Amino acid sequence: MTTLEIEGLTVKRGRSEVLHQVDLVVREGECVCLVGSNGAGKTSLIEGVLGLLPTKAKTLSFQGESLLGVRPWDRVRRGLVVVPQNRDLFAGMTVEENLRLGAIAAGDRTTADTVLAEIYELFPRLAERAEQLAGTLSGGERSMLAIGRGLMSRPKMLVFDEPSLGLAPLVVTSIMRTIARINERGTTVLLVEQNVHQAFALASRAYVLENGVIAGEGPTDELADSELMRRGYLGSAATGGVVTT
Amino acid sequence: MSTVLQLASTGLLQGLIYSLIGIGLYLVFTVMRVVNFAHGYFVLIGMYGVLSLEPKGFFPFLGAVVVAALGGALVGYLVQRLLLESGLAKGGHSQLVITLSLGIAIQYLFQVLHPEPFETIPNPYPFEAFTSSGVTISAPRMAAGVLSLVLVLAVSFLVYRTRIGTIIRGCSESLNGAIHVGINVRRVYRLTFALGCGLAAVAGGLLLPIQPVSPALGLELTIKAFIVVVIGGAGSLWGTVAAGVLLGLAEALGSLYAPGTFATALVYGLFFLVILVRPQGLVVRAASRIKPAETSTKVGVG
Amino acid sequence: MTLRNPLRYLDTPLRRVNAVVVTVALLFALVYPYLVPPPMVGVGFVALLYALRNFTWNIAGGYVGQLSLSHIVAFGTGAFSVAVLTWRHEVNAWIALVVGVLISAVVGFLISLLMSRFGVNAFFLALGTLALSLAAAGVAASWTFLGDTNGISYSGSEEGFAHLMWYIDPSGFYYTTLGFLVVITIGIAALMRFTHFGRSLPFIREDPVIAASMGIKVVRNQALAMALSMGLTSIAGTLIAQYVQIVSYESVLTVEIGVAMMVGSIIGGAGTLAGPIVAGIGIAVLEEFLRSFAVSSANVSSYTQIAYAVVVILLLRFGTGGIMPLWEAGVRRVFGTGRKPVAPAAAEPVGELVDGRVG
Repeated sequence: MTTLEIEGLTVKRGRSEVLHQVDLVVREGECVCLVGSNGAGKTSLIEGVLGLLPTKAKTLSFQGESLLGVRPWDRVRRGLVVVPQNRDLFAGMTVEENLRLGAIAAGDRTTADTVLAEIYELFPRLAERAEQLAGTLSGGERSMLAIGRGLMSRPKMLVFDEPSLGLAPLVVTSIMRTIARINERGTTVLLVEQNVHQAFALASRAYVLENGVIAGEGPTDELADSELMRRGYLGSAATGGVVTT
Repeated sequence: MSTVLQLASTGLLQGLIYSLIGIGLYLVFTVMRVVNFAHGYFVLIGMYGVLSLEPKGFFPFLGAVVVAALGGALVGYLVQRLLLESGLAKGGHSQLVITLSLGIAIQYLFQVLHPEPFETIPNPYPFEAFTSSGVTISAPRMAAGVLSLVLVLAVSFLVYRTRIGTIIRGCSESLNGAIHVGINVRRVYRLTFALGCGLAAVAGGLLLPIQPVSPALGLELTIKAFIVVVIGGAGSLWGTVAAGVLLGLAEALGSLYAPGTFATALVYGLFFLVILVRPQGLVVRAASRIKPAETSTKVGVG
Repeated sequence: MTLRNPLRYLDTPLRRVNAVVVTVALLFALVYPYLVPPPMVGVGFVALLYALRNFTWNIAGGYVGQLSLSHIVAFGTGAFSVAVLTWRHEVNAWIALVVGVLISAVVGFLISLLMSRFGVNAFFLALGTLALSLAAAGVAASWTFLGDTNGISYSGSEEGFAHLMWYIDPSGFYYTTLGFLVVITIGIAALMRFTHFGRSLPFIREDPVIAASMGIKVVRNQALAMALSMGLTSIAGTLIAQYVQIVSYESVLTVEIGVAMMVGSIIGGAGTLAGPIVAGIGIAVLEEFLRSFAVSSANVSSYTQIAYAVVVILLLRFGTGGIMPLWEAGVRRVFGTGRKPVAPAAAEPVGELVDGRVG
């Protein structure tokens, strides 16, 4: 069963079209990655899928139901949750308040405590800092909180927008391991990354986005040896992605 | 000495009403980053609402205040839904000019409907005045202050202790974050605007027995609400409450030393200075939340 | 700058149509006082005065995007300078006019500099300038030098252009205002077209940061535009004071005047040359129209204010840029563009609630 199906997606940012006729499919339980260099349109794709930017599409469906004309927050309520690039945390609220707000979409208040316990188990660091204001967390902790908040509504699918951005290599590895665990537990994952090596290690299939169009797709192990990779384009993007100082 | 005490207590009670007016504006501003230039005119809606219901006695008066509050909230809801919502995406100036124009429209609508200035209602409360150690407080003033305090506490309970309050704070903390957790931001905005306007209208209803109403009062109250919010800062609701009380006290004690119109001029002049020296109130918040870059024009110097 | 054949300017249908309209309107404005009885000439004067007021506000408010309410102070300064200097101390009215212009310009320059520390936040510019205007009104209301609550009344006997005063026939005021309007319009048009300063203003409005990176002195040019704008607004204040012969804080220092300037420019098309003028004249005609319905005069201003507000709210709500952009689009539709299509400067379509506020 397809979880996310995109066909002929065009996204506009301001007056300019930043994504042209993109096709992308994520099946249930999969971990798919979308790679591309800075400015290729990765974040625009996510914002288009969530309905934050004006879009046109032949098909844009989630779990078999069309998302066209559905408000962004209702897309979240259907189980399509994004862990955004700049985290978008509620900086003036505590870690626990942030997490509890994450459960708003689920609507069911009784399960919130169970999920909260699960998340504290997944990220013991967050449990230690439950009463701390989100704005005072370190980069890695903020990243954990954003993921935890995304998990609170028990989403069908999590979209990670550059989870490695701005983090130390060691933290990146740990975050990536967590994403793998989340996927193993049954959540469909779309990982959007600039850091190709990390992403390919995690995902089974990959899409390559270049200047707003899909330049290539396929299983990660095949794609890694492909013409596209040999052109050196991805290689440079990969190093550029890790060393973002 | 007793004059000072008398003025201080009147000022304190008046200040609590300003706090109530101020938190309405504060909520709308922190949640939506819209500065509602029509806010004081919603107080006017409350005042004229109660006036036209002509309540006789205490319970009819309370009923009239509730009706006026609901009316104010409804108008606010419609304004947000029909006029402001579509412009929010564009940012910039359209809400400023729309709310400013709306205020003018409300003022002159009342000018046509109630050409007589300084209309009021008789004391609706079953008491006349409270006297203690040389200080006399009329019943409407006492009641308005106390009820305002109760409402301020109720609003702070709503904002800080309830689920809907958490959602409202979430929207004010991060609009994108709110969308990412599935909050229906549009509905929260509508409700917040309605709540802010409703609070203004309640304050108007409570104010009516103390302060006769004229259409021109709306502007003055808008400015006072701004003063309260700017001085209170965007940090927490309590800053706004404190600033309201401060304004009430300053106004009452200031009347000892400066004659009427000049005192008003002083208040506005002071406000101008506050805007200049206290940009960390509304300004920082507005600048950093709406646009990440706030160094804008300084770049051009030299 | 070499002189070119001026007819070369008329290269598009829009420009040709506008040239015809402007010529006809100017000719009509010149003969108007001969066609109507004196009271209607007074209406004509008021219409031109509104146009002048809107136009001068538009220099800072429209071209640079400074939504200022301190123009109330400028308007009041113009009125009070003639009241204090000429009516009380018999200084020549023209000198008083110049003094008003200079004071207003200096005030405008300083306000803009002071407010620039808030960056481009329009809310705070509007709020701060409103507070300043209200403070000024409070001062005028309590200071006998400015007539306190009684105001200052005209006392004099001389008449004529040299004294900027005509008792019976308002056509003197009419032609003087027309002259000011024409000269200022041409001057500003030339300024916007031929000077580096003028050309920089729309860039500052669009994005001060980019403008600064282009080497534009943003703060200085904003302050200069504000000085120019407020200085010229003062002329309108002087003219109305001479016309009604009484000045008080209630007549020239009210928020309504500031809102009228702002809203008038927006209705006409902020940042356009002709928009504020068209809207000013339109509003005056509307007021006269309401009066002809035998609406009591107190209510005329109320209805006009309501109409103002409703029109501007609708214009903003539906995302149109005012009368002039509508007119231009209309002419282009009827006569064609006459050139390759250029991206219109119209506002972007109204987006969804969340669009554009993300990222």
